[in-house]
This record gives sequence, structure tokens and C-alpha cells, in this order.
Amino acid sequence: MTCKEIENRLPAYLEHLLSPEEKETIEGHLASCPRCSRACENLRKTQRLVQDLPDVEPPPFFEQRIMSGVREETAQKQGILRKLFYPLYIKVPIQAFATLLVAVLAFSIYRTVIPEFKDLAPPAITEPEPAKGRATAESIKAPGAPAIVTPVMKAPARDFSDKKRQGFSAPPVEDGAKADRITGPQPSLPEARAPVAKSAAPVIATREKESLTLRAEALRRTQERADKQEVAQSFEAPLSEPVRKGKMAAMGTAPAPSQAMDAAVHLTIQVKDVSVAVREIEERIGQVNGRVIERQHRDAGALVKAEVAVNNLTAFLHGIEAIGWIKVKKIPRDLSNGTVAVNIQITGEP
Amino acid sequence: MPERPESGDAQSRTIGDDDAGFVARCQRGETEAFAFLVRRHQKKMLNIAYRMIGDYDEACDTVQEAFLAAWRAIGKFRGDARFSTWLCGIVLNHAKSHLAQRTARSHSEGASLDDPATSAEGRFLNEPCCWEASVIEQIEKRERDMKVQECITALEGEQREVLVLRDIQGFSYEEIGAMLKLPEGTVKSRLFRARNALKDGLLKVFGDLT
Repeated sequence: MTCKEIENRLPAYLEHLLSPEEKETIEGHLASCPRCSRACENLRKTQRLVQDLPDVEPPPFFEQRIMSGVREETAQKQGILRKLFYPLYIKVPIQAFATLLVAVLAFSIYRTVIPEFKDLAPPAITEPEPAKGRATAESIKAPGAPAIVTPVMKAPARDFSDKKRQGFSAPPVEDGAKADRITGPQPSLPEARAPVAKSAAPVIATREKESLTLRAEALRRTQERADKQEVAQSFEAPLSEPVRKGKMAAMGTAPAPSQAMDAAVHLTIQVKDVSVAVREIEERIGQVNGRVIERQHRDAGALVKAEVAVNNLTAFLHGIEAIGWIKVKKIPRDLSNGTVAVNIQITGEP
Repeated sequence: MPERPESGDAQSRTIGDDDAGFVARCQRGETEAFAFLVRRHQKKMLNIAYRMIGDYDEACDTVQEAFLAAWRAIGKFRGDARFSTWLCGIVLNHAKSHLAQRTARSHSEGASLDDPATSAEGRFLNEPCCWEASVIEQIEKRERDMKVQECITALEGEQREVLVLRDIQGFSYEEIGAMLKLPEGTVKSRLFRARNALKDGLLKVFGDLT
């Protein structure tokens, strides 16, 4: 064992941690080696110096310094905990208030959303309007009028359902509406509502698309309503009495509207004496500065075709009220220009 | 030489037994119980920190932070080791962390006038005075202790901590192994190297120790 190895083993030797053999070897070496013996003595002296190092004393109020930090931290921690959990007399009301707030918020959001759902069901909402419109139209039309007017008012529902079936690839709104108004079949109201009910299910996914469709539909309805009101306002006042009489006369016998009707006023008047009625009608035409264009005598009646100024049409119709039962078959929508042709079918009473 | 470590170990065991009740009260949030533990261990912890760091004021700050950390973590203390052992581990960790920060700071800022290796005066003002010894002997002893501390501070960190714990504070190898999470054999070999290194350092400072 070399001196370096002996020197490395000296601390363990001084702590009595070596085996008896190692201890005997080191003691033999130390007895014969002054350098290692001095190293051993220096090591003992080193340990004495270390162990003689005095303890330092804590500074004054060191404990108070430490504990002030501890108490400060404890107060902060308790403050956080108290805010979160402990004061039930504060926590419970706050939680109740928060729950109430959430409920009120949810209800207000629900109230805000409801109008959007209403927008998604136009046929159901516009149901009363067709009834009112039909009454107005029927009040001015002859017995054939309901067959014409009713599709106009129900057209939105059918039109909407058709658009739904076509995946919203709708034709131009105005043209489609007019086509329905003239030739389209009358869908029943439940049928018209069914697609709408179906459309309410995928509200979120198709909301935007439906919104566009519904806006177009609403615009079209508004335009139709304006047109109808315009026609009604043009005829309602002057024609109310003849129409009422015509309607009474035509009950149960209303013919289907003719596709061949042109832009003329078509009237049917039922009288006792056809020849007298023809003469009186021609007189009335003359009174309103009208012009008889054609006169045809048939089996049990006659046909008088005349031309009357639009401004005098009302006076003319009032004038022939007393001749017999009048049935208005058709009144053209556009009567803004000069004169209008009036075809009067005169039939004798059976 | 083994007398002091053994006596220190016995003292620690007694303290450890007494600490259990106070630790339990601390875990229930009683700060007064922790104040008692602070009063009981503050000097020992301060000395460990001082011998590790070599600067009294910095040691005080480190111990204060270590006690605060112990209070925060006392809920996690399960009693696997004695409270003093657990507390020493915290103080050692804070001391090493402080030394690492100081080393990094000195590298970036250069040498400081407050560096403990060069600022000798006033570092032992709080040491107890030995009124029986003469003034000259007091001054000589103070200078010698300063040099010893300088040599301890000059040791490698791993060697310094086992030397402080064993030769100055008197912990057993088992306790040191528990604090440092090292096997006893490693603790011993590290301690023996530390003693030889300190002897070589003191020989350079004092010439001959005998």
C-alpha cells in the first residue's frame, strides 16, 4: 500500500471504520513513515478545527421575522379560502343570485330567439290574411272569383313547399307566383303547412338559406297584396251593389273561369224580357257616352258588346242594376286606360 | 472524534420525538406550534446555512425562506423522517440554490466587495464571546475560524454539505443519507474526500497544523 493510498484511508482509519487487517497495515505504515504520520496528525487537527468552530447566534427577533412571514402567508391563504368556501352566509346568497342571473339570461336569450322562429313559419302566420283577402275579393267578384282569388292567397304556402321540395332552387319569385295564381292547383292548408313543419327541424343548418327564401316569399306576398288592394280599391266602392246582386244570382251555378277571356268586362244579366232589356241596356250605354259595337240575338237571349269609358263604367253598372240580376264574370285588372270593352250576356228567365 | 456526532444524533432523536406533536398541530394550521418549532431549530438551521454559504446575512435570509417553505409544505410531511432531518433538507436545498444564484451573479457582475471570501471583517459579530480568554487570543481565534470557514467555503459543494452535516452539525450517516438521498457508503466516501481536501486547504493557509 502506497503512501497516497494510506493517506486516502486515514479518515476511515480515524473513524474506526476499517477492518482489523487494514487497521494493522495502516498502523504499521504510520510507525515507519513520518510523512504519512504527519498527514494523519494534520487530519486530526483539521477535524478539531472544524469541530471547534463556534455556533453563530440568530439575530435579534429572528423568530419574529420568520413568523411574521408565516402569518402573512397564512392570512393570504385563509383569505383566498374564505373567499371561495368558508363564509356560507355570503357564498349561498351569491350562488343563489348567480343561478337567478343565469336563469334570467337564458330566458331573455330565449325571448330574443323566438322572433326568428316566427320568421321560419310564414304560412301559419299569414293564414288570417288570405281569409280577409278572400272576403274582400269575393265582395267584388262574380261567383267565379273565388276560383281565381283563392289560389292567389294560398299561393305562398304552395310556393314555399314547392321550393322546399326543389331544394331551394326556386324559379324567379314574381313569375312563379303569377303562374300559381292563374293555373296552379289549390293546395289544402295542411298540405301547405307540412313542408314548413319539416323545415323547422333543420333550423340551424338551413337557417340562412330559409331566411333568404322567406324574405323573397314575404316580398312577393307584399307585392301581391298591394296589387290585390289596388284592384279592390278600384272596384269595391262602385261595384259593391252589382257584385252583391251578381253573387246572389250566381250562387250554386258559378262556371269555371275561362282561359279565353280577354281584357273586357264580362257581365251576365238575367231578365224577363230580352228584347226590352237589350233596348234599355243600349240606352244606358248611350247615357254614359258608350258605343254599342255588336248586338247578337240568340235562342233565349242576346249578346251586346259595347265600349265604355273607364270613368263611366261605374255609372253604367249602376244604371243597369234595375234591369235584372247581374253576374259579373270578369273584370280586367288593368283599367287605367281610356275605354273598356263590356260584353253583356242577356238571358231570359226560365 | 466520533463522540460529538453520536451525542448530536442522540439529541436530534430526542428533539424529533418532541417535534411530532407540534408538527401535527402545524398541519392543522396552528401557527403557534410552528413558532415553537422555529424557536427550537432556528439556531441549528442558521448554522448549517451559514457554514454552507459563508455569509451571515445571506444565511439569515436563506433560513427565513426555508422556514417559510417548510410551513407551506408541512402538510405533505408524513413523518417518514424526523422533522429536523426534513427541515435540514429544506435549508440545504435553499442554501445550495442561493449559492448557485450567487455564483451566476458573480459570473455576470464580476467580483463583489460583499463576497464572503474577501470580506473578512464583521462576519462573526454574532458569535459568542469568550470573556475568559484574552483579547489577543480572541482575535487569533477569530482569524483562525475565518480561515477555516474560507477553506470550508472553498470546498466543492457536495463535499461541503456532508462535512457541515457530519463534522459540524453531528448528523448520523443515516440522517445525512436521508437528507441528501444518498447511500451511506457514498456519504462516507464523500466525507473522507472532503476531510482530506479541507486538510490540504488548511495546510496551504496555515503552513503546518501541528
